[in-house]
Amino acid sequence: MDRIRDKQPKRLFRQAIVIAIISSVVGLMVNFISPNSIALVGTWKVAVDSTGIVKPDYFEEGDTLVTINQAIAMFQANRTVFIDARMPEEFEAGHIKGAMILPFEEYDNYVGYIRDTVPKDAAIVTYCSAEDCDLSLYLARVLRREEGYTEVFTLYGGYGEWVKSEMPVETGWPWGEKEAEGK
Amino acid sequence: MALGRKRGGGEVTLHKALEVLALVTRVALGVIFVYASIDKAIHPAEFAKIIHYYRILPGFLINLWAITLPWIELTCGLLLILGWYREGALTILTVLLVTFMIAIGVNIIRGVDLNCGCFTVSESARSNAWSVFIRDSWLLAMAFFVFFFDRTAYGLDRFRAPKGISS
Repeated sequence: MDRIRDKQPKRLFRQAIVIAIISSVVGLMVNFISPNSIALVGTWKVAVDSTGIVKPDYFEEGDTLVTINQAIAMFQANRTVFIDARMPEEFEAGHIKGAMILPFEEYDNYVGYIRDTVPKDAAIVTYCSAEDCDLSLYLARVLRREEGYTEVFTLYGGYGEWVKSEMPVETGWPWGEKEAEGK
Repeated sequence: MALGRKRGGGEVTLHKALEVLALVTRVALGVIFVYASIDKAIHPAEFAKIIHYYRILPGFLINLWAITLPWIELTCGLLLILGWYREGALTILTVLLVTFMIAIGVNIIRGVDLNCGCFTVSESARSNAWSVFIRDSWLLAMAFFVFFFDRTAYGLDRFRAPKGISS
């Protein structure tokens, strides 16, 4: 018989350990020379507040995260502007009903429309795809610091949480064929 | 070699079919793991972030895991495709799959929907935790099937010293 089951467990684990060590060493060596290399030991902090939010490592003083339940309440009260920080293709594929688009990576092309239509004291909730996405926090900071908006929140869990909660979404461009660009 | 043994006609056909199926499964498993490793090996920082969100590993191990895991997956995947040191590669993949299932299971219980980081570090590639769990169960079943039915004759292992192999 020459099937694997005939092998000794000791031999099996010895092989496994040798393979694991060799490939780990290769990984460490590649990380040493790679342009995408990272530190061997990172600084990872996990801070959970009373709302169950795990503050991401890029969280800064002044950022305000809201939970999905808080965001739903704000949506239902109908006094909050939701701003999507993701790329136009993602916005087009599906976004929170009534949300405006301001892709963080194409900020200058889109911000004019927001400046013209959203008053500075309006409550704003920015969001991106999920809790491990940072664009919505960065966007909220820029809106606060550079555009002078006073009440800017960020939805923790982003669009993913919204969809999971079966809240209203819509697709496409609510104001016609990509008109927002350049406004 | 088992191939040369005399068996009843039906038995030979069934064994042959199982062996060919095991070969196909082994190569498929190898390809899946090679594919799964590439994006993570190229983007360790993003992968580390995903591991962080699993909230299982202590902070000081996150980067080390992000640096080494994709290369372990890549090596095991390649070894399975080549049929070389299959026992070791399968043992590692089995341990990894069980670990992944525990990690996903813990987060299902916690109610956290996370980016699994299984095949890509991209944020848009989010999938339902249960479907990831079920997919990993299938991969585990494939690994066991290969373990019991794959034959040395169909890979580079046939050229290795026949220590521990009786025929």
